[in-house]
Amino acid sequence: MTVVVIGGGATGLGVAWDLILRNVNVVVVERGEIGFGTSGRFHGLLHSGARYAVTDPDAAKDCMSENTLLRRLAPTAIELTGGYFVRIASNDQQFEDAWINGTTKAGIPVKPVSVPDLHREIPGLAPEVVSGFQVPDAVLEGFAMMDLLARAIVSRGGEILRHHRVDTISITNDRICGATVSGPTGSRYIGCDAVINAAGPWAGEVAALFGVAVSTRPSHGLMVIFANRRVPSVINRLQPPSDGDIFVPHQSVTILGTTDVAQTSPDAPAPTRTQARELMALGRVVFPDLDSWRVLRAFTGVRPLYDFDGLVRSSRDLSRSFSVLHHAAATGPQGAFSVLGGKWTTFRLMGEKTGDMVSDYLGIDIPCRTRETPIAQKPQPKPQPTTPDPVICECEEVTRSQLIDQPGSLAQSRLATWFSMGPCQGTFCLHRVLALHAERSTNYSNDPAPLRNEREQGLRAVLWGDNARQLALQRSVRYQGLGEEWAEL
Amino acid sequence: MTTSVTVIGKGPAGLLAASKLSRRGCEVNIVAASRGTIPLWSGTFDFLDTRRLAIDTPWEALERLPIRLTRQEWSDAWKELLELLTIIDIPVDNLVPQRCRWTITCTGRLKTTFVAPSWQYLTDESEELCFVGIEGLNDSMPEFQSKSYTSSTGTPSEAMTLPAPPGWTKRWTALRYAFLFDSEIGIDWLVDTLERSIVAQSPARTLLVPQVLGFQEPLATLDRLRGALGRPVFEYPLVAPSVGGMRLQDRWERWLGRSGVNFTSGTVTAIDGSTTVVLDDKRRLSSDAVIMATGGILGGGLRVAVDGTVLDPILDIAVGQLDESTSIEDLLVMGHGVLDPCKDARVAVVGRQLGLWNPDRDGTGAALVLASVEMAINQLIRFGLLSPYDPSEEPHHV
Repeated sequence: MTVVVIGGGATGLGVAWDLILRNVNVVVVERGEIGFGTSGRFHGLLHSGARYAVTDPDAAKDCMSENTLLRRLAPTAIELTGGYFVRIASNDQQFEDAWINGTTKAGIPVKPVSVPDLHREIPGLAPEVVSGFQVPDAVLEGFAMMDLLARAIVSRGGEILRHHRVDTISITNDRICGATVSGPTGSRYIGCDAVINAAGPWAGEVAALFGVAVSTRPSHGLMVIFANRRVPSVINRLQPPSDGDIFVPHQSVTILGTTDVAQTSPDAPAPTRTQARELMALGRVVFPDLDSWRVLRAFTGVRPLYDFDGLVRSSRDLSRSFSVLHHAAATGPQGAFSVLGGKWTTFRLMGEKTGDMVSDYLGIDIPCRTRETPIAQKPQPKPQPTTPDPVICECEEVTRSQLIDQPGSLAQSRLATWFSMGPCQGTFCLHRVLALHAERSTNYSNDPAPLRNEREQGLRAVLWGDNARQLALQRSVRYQGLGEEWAEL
Repeated sequence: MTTSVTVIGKGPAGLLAASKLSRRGCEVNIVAASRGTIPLWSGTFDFLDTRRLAIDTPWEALERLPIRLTRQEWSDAWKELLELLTIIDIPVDNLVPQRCRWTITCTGRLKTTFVAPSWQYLTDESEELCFVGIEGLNDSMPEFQSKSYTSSTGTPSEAMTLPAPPGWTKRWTALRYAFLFDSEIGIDWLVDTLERSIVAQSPARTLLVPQVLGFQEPLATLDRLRGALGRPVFEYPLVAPSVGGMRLQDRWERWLGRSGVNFTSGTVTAIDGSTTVVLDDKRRLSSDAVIMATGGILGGGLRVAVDGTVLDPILDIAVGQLDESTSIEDLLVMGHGVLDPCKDARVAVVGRQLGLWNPDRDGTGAALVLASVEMAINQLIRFGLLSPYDPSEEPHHV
């Protein structure tokens, strides 16, 4: 049995992981890098479910149980920071009561914390905070989790095709029998028994290959990254889920999320200054000295929301829950599945439900094994380099040997090592990494522009304080120091 | 009576302004918070980029620059700069060049420049080169440099990597290499290692080495290498820290110190009562005039607030507003646009703080510095605080 999964984000990898543990051959087709869509563009929060305790009790329950499972299954990709919900005087008491009620129903352990303790634990917190609670939120290292999943899938014989697209899906007697994919090395036909659309915001485009229509309701969120770990735990504002109310400590940075803007395109738009400023204004309510935090960059991610009932108010009212469709139930071919909606925290559960449905279709009676099979692998001890191993990216302390260990594109290498992600945003290391790659590659390129543009794109919406100076420095180094081709920004 | 001037900032514009004022008999005090951006500069001086503009000499297109000086004034300003560099022990060709020449980056790209200290490689046309790198030295990437150079110029080149010097650790920056090559042991190691590496080499190509040949005596070291290897040897600049710019700053500051210029370390927060400079620790420095060389957004002289206001925090003057539609290029060249934003001829703004044009795009960095400092001095002369320069009366020529 072979199944093609379209989309190499958290959903697609979760589905592939589930199926491979049921002894299904899996081919994951990803058009860019792993996690290049929504999965690589989120705030990094492993939800306890408390955020949805009032507005979406099902999602709250799912989050809590998945949160508990993932801590055990993939401890290296999760940081147990804990989280706080804090209420500002202007947010009403009634919601707090409903929230406590909701968390109890969803089984989320919540512990009240006194205001003086809050101020002691969370430096810089607004004096207007009137109450606070501790919840089991955690931080999910998205790329680390996807890397674990991808390695686990490949080590069990699965195949992951990066930079590939599905061009056509072959259907015989109303049953899916294959898919033609194309990538950098050409085109290829994969005979298969089912195709699963796990394309997130692009689910509508993929469903069209099945000949069916799927109505997605994408909305994007903008997030701002600050250069230091300013908060010890996840900080949520205790109010109905809203803009600018989550701070997540992520390794050495802090992420402030998010906005919620409906859009029609599935692609993430460039961050705008207006949105970034609006987000700052909201964040300042919780941390009044927010303007003095050294900002790094802004980014946007598209939520793959899906309209279950046909009843849409605002996109925040759409359930964060998910749905798995077998299109044969309506007008589509047999063996065509779509996984719609969902959130990072529940990727495993989505995999399980999809796996159940696909197994049922394929007549496989092996149950889901992802609940008990660890995704984490023991880290391999790296051999000590014998030649000099200078630090190439000083911000993130990435050494030459770490970069050389990484095969593949510069983008893959960036996600694996985190080079160019620190305060200098690649000003001093991009050309070095480009050189390392060019020396070892037959596809020699000395053009740093694509990498530079990607980094500068994230800077432009948050050009204030030292970040504006950083960009000026980057331009000077590029054009005066390194003699790069002039390109208007 | 001696005129006293406070210069804020010690980047190229501040150092040049202080030097000129000192030569003209002023009592100069330089106030600066830090080294500024000089350690990120190789020490080359750019005028109009003649190759990009397809002209033979910069003199043909002076009207393209927003600051209008006559050809004679430009020529005098360049001449005085070159004289100054020679005096402060930065050897350059002591004639104002006629056209831009090529220097080379650590990524193997040819870049135009007008004047460079004589340790740095400069050429009029591409020639066969041998790029040398040292293992463990960031920004020395000879394989890439050579590939890139040859593919863009069609001129053959080769690459050679020397082993890491004894005692190397991964914390060594370019500056640490420079200190090594200030020592006899370091130079011996370099000569010896290069001689042995070069045996296998075929043609005697010009050798380019990283710009780390000592902080103190790079020219002597280059001469020794040339003698030992029997071929031309020059340096190519690295990015950061840039030893070339630091050599220049170090020599320049020592010369200013010997000439009687005072250095004050501190952050200026305001200018009070037109010419009293106030520091963040409440010190107050009074003088007859102030020159602000605080470097624009790059130097930190302008700050962008979250709401997009672009502010000179010392003068408390907003120079612009960053909105959704403002282009980044416009932001990065923002400055006061006028020499005397306080409408007081005793306060002048020079260099990037003045704004006006984009040195990164246009290759006009030194022109901006030279012209704005020249105009600031002329303003003080018009105001009666200075008399026109007569080299024969120079008091501080050490």
